[in-house]
Amino acid sequence: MVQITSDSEIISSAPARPTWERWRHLSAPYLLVLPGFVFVAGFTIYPIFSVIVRSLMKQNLAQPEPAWTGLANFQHLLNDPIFRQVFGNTILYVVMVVPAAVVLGLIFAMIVNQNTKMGSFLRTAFFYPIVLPLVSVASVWLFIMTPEYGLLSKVTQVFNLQEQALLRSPDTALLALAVVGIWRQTGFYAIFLLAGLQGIDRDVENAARLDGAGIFRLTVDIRLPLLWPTLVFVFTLAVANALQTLDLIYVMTGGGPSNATNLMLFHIYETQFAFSNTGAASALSVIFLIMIGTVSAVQIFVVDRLKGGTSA
Amino acid sequence: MHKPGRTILNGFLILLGLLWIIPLLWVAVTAFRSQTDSIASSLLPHEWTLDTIRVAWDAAPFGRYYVNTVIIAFGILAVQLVTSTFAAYAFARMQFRGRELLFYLYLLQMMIPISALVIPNYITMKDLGLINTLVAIMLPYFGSAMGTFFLRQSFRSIPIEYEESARIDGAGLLRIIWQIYLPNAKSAVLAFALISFSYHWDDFFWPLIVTSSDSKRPLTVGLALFTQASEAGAAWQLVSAATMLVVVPVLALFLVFQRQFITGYAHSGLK
Repeated sequence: MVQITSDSEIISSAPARPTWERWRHLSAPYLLVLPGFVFVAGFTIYPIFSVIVRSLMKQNLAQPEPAWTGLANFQHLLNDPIFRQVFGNTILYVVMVVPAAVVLGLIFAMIVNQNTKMGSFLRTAFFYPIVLPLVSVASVWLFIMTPEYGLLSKVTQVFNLQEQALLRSPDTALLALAVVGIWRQTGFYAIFLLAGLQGIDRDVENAARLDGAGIFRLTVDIRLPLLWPTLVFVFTLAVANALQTLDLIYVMTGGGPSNATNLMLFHIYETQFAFSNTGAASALSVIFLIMIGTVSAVQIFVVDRLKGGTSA
Repeated sequence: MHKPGRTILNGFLILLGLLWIIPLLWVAVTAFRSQTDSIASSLLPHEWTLDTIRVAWDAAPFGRYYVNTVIIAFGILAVQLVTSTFAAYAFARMQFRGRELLFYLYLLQMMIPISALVIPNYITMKDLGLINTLVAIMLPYFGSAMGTFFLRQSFRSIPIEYEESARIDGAGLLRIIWQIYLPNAKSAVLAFALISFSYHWDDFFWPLIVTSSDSKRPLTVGLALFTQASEAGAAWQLVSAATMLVVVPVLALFLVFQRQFITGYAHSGLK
């Protein structure tokens, strides 16, 4: 650039303006992208590398200054019964929440799509939880599930059932959290599936109806194959969301009883902020990044491929 | 012959809808119950009162939490709109070297949520000396891949002739973006604004980590601490009142802009 400018100045001062224009033209896209990119680089790209480096360092209360330790943090984790439990809990939670929320979401979407008289009531009822802060959802359900005081306790009284302290038993606490997760997220997945359903050509559906297809055949033969890419997308989205569960745990159980509801993200949080073990928290973060990154990669690339394959 | 099946189905649907509404309704009702009116004694309050909400408001600095949350949510949105509009225009209408690479690096932000990077980002904030500031809560969100892709999609559908005729009239780049592209992408801007605003109104984990005093905390963190403190004393009337304080603004926003929320989310997933 400098070269061109000085050349043109030697020849005459007239072309200086076009050169400036040219430079402006060339740099404009970078200047437009840069302001946003600075933050993406600083808080998404850089930390991916820095957390990998930190996961290879020992840094905790006994060792405040980070010191190189290789893969020791990861080795400790593999032998740590708590980590194994946390990892197992996380997988179990995903398995409890995701299929239920996606199937229920599909049912919600089909109900709302039928556009009956109650369509707008049902749409509001199913979709409103998605805007509620998860922390408030947690407060709502903690109250509901509190023995003696909660709504659930009143229901068990009516039916003369044994009162259950769901959140205080290691056998039921994770399941109770899963119910709350499903309640909050189902509407979110229904939105995407509803958009998918509305994208299906009405003529195709009507032709199938004329051929005598009932709601079951219509769903299995026409809708599900066309919805397939949306379903895969929603499924991966649901897995990614379930993996990131933290707010519910923080308010409702604190990870207990006996770590029964301690999931990956909460464990990362307590390892750093309760146990001050940055090395272990970083190693946990790297494992968590791999989990989330894999799910996101599947989402982007598989859904892309499916779309290309089916909509052509 | 068709009728009984319909009625049963409709009854079932109403039940299903109620099942989704009742949890919040129960908390809303309890927010109006006096603190001396035992929850165990009845389903509905014996007497309806606003006192509990007033007591909850004063029991924790909810006024401060509100101000902080509004600053955070609007602050992030304002900066995001500027950075996303600029980047969206570049990605939508300009050819430049490294475009693909930058695009994929942006995409990384949609793949890796901030929650997975809290440890290194917390350390960054500590190094910058920004712990326990509102800026620390906002900073990581100033660049938005979602906003950028969202607006890019919308910008692409605007006829290039609009831009060309403005150019002939002597309009510069910024004026073209500001006066041609933004006004023609109003619905995309509104949808993104709603999603961003509600997301940051709801955000909890990151603000929890980078704040250490009530003067900087948003509503979500305040509510979580309030719930923990009140749970032990079974002060559920107060917890319910506090929950409603946090929920009502976003809920109202959703009820007013339901369609925009739904189409906005739907488009955000379809790249």
